[in-house]
Amino acid sequence: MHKSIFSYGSGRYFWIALILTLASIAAYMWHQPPGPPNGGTWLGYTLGGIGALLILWLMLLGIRKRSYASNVGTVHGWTSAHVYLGTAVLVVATLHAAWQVGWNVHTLAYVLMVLVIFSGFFGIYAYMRYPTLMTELRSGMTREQMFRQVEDLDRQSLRTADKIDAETKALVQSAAERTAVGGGWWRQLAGRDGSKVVVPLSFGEGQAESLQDNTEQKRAIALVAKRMAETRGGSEVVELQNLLNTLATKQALLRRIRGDIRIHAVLQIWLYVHVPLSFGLLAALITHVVSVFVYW
Amino acid sequence: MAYLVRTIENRDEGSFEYSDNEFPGSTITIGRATDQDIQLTEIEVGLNHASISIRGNGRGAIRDLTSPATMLVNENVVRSASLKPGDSIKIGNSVIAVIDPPPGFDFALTLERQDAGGDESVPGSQYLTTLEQTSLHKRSWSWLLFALVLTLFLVIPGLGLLNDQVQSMSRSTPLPDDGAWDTGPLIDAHHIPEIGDDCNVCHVKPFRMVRNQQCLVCHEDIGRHAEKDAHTELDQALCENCHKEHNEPPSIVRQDDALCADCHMSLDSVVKATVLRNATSFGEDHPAFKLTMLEPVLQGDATLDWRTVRFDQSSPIAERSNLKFPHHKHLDPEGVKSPTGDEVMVCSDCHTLDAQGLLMKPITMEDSCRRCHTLVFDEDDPEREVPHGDPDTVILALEEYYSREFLENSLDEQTEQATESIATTQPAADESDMSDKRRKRRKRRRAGTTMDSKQRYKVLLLARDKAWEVAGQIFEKTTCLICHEIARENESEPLSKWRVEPVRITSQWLPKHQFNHYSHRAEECTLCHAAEQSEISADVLMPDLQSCRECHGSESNQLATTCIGCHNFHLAAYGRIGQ
Repeated sequence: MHKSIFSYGSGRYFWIALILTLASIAAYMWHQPPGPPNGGTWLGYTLGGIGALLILWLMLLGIRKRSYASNVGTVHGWTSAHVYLGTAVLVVATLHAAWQVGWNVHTLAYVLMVLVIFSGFFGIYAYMRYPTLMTELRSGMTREQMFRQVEDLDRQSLRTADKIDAETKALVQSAAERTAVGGGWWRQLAGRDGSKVVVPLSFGEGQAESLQDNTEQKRAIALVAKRMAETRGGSEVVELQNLLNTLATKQALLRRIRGDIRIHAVLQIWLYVHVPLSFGLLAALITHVVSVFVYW
Repeated sequence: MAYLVRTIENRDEGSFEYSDNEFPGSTITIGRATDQDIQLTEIEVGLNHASISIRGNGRGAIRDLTSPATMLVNENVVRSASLKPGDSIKIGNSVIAVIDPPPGFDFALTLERQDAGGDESVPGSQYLTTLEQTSLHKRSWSWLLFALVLTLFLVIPGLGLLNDQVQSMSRSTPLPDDGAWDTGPLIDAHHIPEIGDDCNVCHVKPFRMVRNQQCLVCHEDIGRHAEKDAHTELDQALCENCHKEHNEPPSIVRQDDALCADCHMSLDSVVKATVLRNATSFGEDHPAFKLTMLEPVLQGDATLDWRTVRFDQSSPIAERSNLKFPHHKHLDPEGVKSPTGDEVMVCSDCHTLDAQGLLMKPITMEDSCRRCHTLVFDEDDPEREVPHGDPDTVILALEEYYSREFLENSLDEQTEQATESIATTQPAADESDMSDKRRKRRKRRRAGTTMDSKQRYKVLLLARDKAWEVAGQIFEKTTCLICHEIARENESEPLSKWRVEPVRITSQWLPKHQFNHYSHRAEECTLCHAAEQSEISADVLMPDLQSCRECHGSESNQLATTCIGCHNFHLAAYGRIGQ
């Protein structure tokens, strides 16, 4: 049975993180340092030490999940601990900093840490929300199956168009060839459709054949529908109707594929913030620790 | 003309099959229709898709006949193109390559069909559908950011520590310098040009806490906490142990009781010889005040000198200042007698704050008493007063006064007898005006008469008797005795001098304590000092621990009072820290 990272080991790491958090808060409130609360008191050093070690350990997840041969706990357990203890670091480090901020490398480390943690929160949110959506969207098909179906539909629509006339075929073929799926990271994330179509001259769109926007295959469908309206009776109307049905099926399928790509992109994109920033944080953390002892 | 079409069939993995067909003619038609020279069966291909016109010697030209054009020549979509050996054409999924014609042919091409299920590629693989395929790169970005942060904020400022040139360059350009390591603001007092933004004024050596020498450059006069060698740990303590800079909010002086209680909770075990009693906090654990008072050193009854004595406030004690002063009479709400009638007095008529606002200025006769307590000795001559000082001076002043008075009087008598008086036209009523009287006398003296020495001796004797009589009066009955302790050296001898016991009023009862009268100015003096009930000057009017605790340091009120609130840590009396 699949168990979520939240409930791993009966929520073992939830309780560890909660105890760590509450203990830190209690110690902070109990501690009456001479002068304002500070990272340089004994409690400050303790919280800072715990925070730094936790950050180093949290970053080890990146290594552990690649070490397939490792048997130091399961990746599942590591991830569960990563999530809960990562959240606890937010509290521990904030108390270590004692709410002091400034234009310095110490606050830089803190800000980077906050960004890393919150990008992690987004990742948790994405993993809680999107897999269900993805399953619904795919309705049992794989991405490959969906693309194969698109190809089948393209071939089918070409065969149908072939029976109508050369211009319609050219339109359908161009629409198929210039159908755009995915693309750069922004197109994937936004689910943007950059499809185009070359509209042949006979469709009465201007003086020459023209490259037009075909988002959601709408232009191609509209032109085929227009041709159908202009055609009177006969087998051609039936073929046009068939063509329209095929194009509409493809339209719906493409929509699902784009949704699927978008969800995958969202499930991935936060890592492109989370991972690089955590390396920036590691550098800032090293600088923080070294610099406070250089000027002790 | 003749041309060769070589069809390549992809059999199994890595094995091909060729079939050559020779055709006559100068045009090659390509399409899906059955009448085409090269028939491509894919649905994407037009019935009559393209045609090649052969120019000979392996060269030709191709033209796409469909609209829009979908043919690729050398990977470019074109409508028409000239062809030479080495060019490749893609129509649908078939690839046509122009090759060098074998002998006997004007043109030759190979045809490789990829339509018959030969497409092994994964559906959708022509699209970018994952973020890994895009321009985003986790790994390179990670190391880039790591290197960037480390270089900017650790390496460059760090190099500045090793090399002065790098440091001055980084400080004078937008490059980050060691200011990026600043953990918080300095206190206002440390914003001075001598420090500026230069960390190394105080932080002289990396990885070492700031040494005392750096602080003592400016704070050279700062006092020790205890005598040198009284406590080794204290002698070796760093200023920085207590005074932490770069706090937020800026603060540098420790206010907490723990600083003191650390040792003073059982000081007797830390410093064996101490006379100080243990304390941990003012509100809960503080010994009764120990008052320091001036006490006369006597020889017989006479005060020879003064010494300070310390005693517990709980023991009964009387101040012996040799001054008589009933506070209750001076603070009588009905008023107290003064030269200008009854006057209601308040504490501040006599007790005023010193410049620092901490203690009261010492009471002096001139400032506080003399306005009412005049030293007039002759009611007929209220302008004349004896000096406030030692008895010899008083007697001398009186003798001088009366000698002159008597001499002038006797001169008056002689003048009147010897000459016709150069009578004054002044009426007798003006005699009361002393200054006029004196002027008159001087005028008369100018008339020029003399006394013989016998007469003068007689007058002087009379004057001395009068002076001593008046002295006896003011010392023993009217003036001095009111405030002072008076004794006579030898009662039986008529010219025995009086002795006024010297007066010293204790002004600093709690010398180890820094009481700020100014900050208590909102309260009535009598809240702490029971002056209105005090009838004699022997009363010690110092408030006790309990009366301070009514406002300070106990749980029932708001005014938390720390040790530093009353006591100084650095005490100049023990010498300077640097020595």
